Amino acid sequence: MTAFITILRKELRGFFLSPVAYVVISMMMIVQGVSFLFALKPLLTGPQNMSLVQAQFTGALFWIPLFVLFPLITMRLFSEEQKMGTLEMLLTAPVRMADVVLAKFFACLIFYIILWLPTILHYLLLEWIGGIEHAFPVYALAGAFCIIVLLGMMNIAIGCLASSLSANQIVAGVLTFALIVMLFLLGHLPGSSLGGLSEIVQEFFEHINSDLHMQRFSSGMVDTRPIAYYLSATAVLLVATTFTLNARRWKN
Amino acid sequence: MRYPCATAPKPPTAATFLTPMIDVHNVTRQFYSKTVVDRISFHVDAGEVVGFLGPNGAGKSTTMRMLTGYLPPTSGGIKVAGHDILTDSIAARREIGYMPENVPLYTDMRVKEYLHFRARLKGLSGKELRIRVGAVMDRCGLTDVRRKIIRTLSRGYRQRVGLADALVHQPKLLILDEPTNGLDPNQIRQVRELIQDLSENHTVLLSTHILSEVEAVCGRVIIINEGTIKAADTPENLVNQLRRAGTVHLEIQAVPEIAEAKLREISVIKKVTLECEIEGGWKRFVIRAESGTDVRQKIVALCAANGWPLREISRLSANLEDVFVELTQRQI
Repeated sequence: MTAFITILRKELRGFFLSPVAYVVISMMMIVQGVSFLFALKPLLTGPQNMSLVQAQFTGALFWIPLFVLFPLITMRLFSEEQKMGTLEMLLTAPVRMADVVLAKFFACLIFYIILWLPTILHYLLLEWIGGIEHAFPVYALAGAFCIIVLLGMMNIAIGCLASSLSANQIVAGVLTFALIVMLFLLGHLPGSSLGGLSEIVQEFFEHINSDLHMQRFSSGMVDTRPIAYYLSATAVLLVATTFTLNARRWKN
Repeated sequence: MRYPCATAPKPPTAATFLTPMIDVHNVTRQFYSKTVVDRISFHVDAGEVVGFLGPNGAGKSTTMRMLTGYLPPTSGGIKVAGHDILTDSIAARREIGYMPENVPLYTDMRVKEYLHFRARLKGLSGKELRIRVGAVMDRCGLTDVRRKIIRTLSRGYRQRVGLADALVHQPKLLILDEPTNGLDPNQIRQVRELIQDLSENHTVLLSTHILSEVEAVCGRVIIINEGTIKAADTPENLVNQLRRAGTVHLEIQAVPEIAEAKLREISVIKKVTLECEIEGGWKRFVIRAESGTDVRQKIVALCAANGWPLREISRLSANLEDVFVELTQRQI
C-alpha cells in the first residue's frame, strides 16, 4: 500500500509539473466552454427536446476531444519507463508490478477527473449568474459524470495497455487513438446502413455503444449493464497490462 | 509495513553468519533458445566483498538481474539473505541495494526529490527518511546538487545518485553493476574508496572491467565467461595458480644443449626451452618453474659457476589481468 501511494503521488506530481498537462487543461477548458455554449444557445429560441446536459455530452464536441485526450495523457505512462529502463529500478525495490500499474492508472484517472471539474462550475455559474433555480437536471448531470468516469477508466486502461506494448510514446499514442475510435465506431455499427446483422450481434454492439450509454445516463436513466461493462473491461485491460509488462521485461 | 532493521540494527545472531548472503544454486537463464547463463552455482557470505568479472556478454548483468528479482531464472534457485527471490521476493528485495548498469533514473526529478521517492518506496518514512536521505547525500557527495534536476547532471553525479539510492535503506547486500563505468580516474578512486568504506558493514557484489579495482577492493573474485563460472577464489590464489606465473626469461652466451641440461638440474624448474638465438652468440631461454617459486638467484649462481656471460634475467609477474585473459579469451 505504501508503494502504491508513493508511486501515485510521484505520478500525479509528474503530471502537474509538466507543461503538457497545462496545455491539455487549457484545451479541455476551452472545449468544455464552447460545448456548453453550443448546448445553451438553442434554448434561446425555445424549448428543446434534449436537456442541457444531454445536449452537451452527446455531440461531436464531446467525443472528438476525448479521442485525442486519452492518447495524450496515457502514452507516456509505461513507454517512457521502458525506454529509460527505469522499470528496472522500480521493480528491484520492494514493489509489486500490480502496485505500479494501479498507481499509474489511478494517477491518470485523477488527472482526467480534474479535467472535467470546470464543467460542473459552468452549470453552477448558470444558476448563480442567471439567478435561475433548478437550471439544470442534477441527476442527469450526475449520470453523465458517471459515464465520463467509467468511460475514462476503460479508455485509460486501453492507454495503459498500449503504452506497455511499446517503448515509443508516439506508437503507444497512435495505438490508443486507433483502439478508442474503433471501439466507439463499432458501437455505432448496428445503426449504420450496413444492416443484415443478426439480433445477437446487434445486441452485442449495443452493449459497447458508449454514445448510447451516454444518452441514457445523461437523461437520468441509470442502467447497471454499462457499469458492469466498463468496470470489467478496465479490470481485464489492467491485468493484460501487467502480463505484457512482465513478459517484456522477462524477454530482454 | 515498516522496514524492520532501520530503527535499530539487530544484533548478529548465529543464524546471520550461517546463512550465506547470496546462495545461487544451479541457475540457468535462456532467452528463447540462447543460453545466457548456464547452470551456475556460487555463494557469497555475509561481510564479503566479491568482484564479478567477465567479458561483455558473459552473463554478468543477467545474473545480477536474477539476483535482484528483476528476471526470473529459467531453472535453478536463488536465495538472498535466506529469502527465495521468487517465492519471497519482496522480503528478499528489502535486503538488497541495487545499482543497475547505466543507472536509469527519472531525469525530470530533482536529486533530493528522487531520493525521497526511492526511500519511501523502500519503506522509510518521517524523520528517519529525512535523516537517511541526508546521510546518503552527504556520503555520496550530492549535498551541493540536491536541488538540481537529474537531467542536468553529469554522468559521474548520476552514478552517485544511483549509489545513494542503493544505500538509502541500509541494505545488508549491495549489488553494483559496473559502478565505475564511464567515470574519470578521480571519480573511480572516490567510488572505490566509498566501496571500501561500505564493505565494513555491508556485503558487496560488484561487477567491473577494471581489474586493478578488483585487486584493491575485493576479497574474492568470481570469473564468468559464456554463461559459466570459470573461477572463484581470492585474487592472490588465482594469480598463483596461473601457469604463466613464475616464468623466467634468460639471455646468456652458452652452448644451448649444455645450458639446458644444467638448468634442468635445478629441482623446481619444470621446463627449459630455447626461444631464439640473437646476433653475437646470445641465446634466449624461457624457463618455467613451479608456481610460487623464484628461481632467479639459483640461475644467476649457475651462470656464474659456469662462466656464462649473462645480460638479462627477468621474471614475469602475473596479475589478475593475465588470469582474466587466460580464462576468458576465446580459443581460436
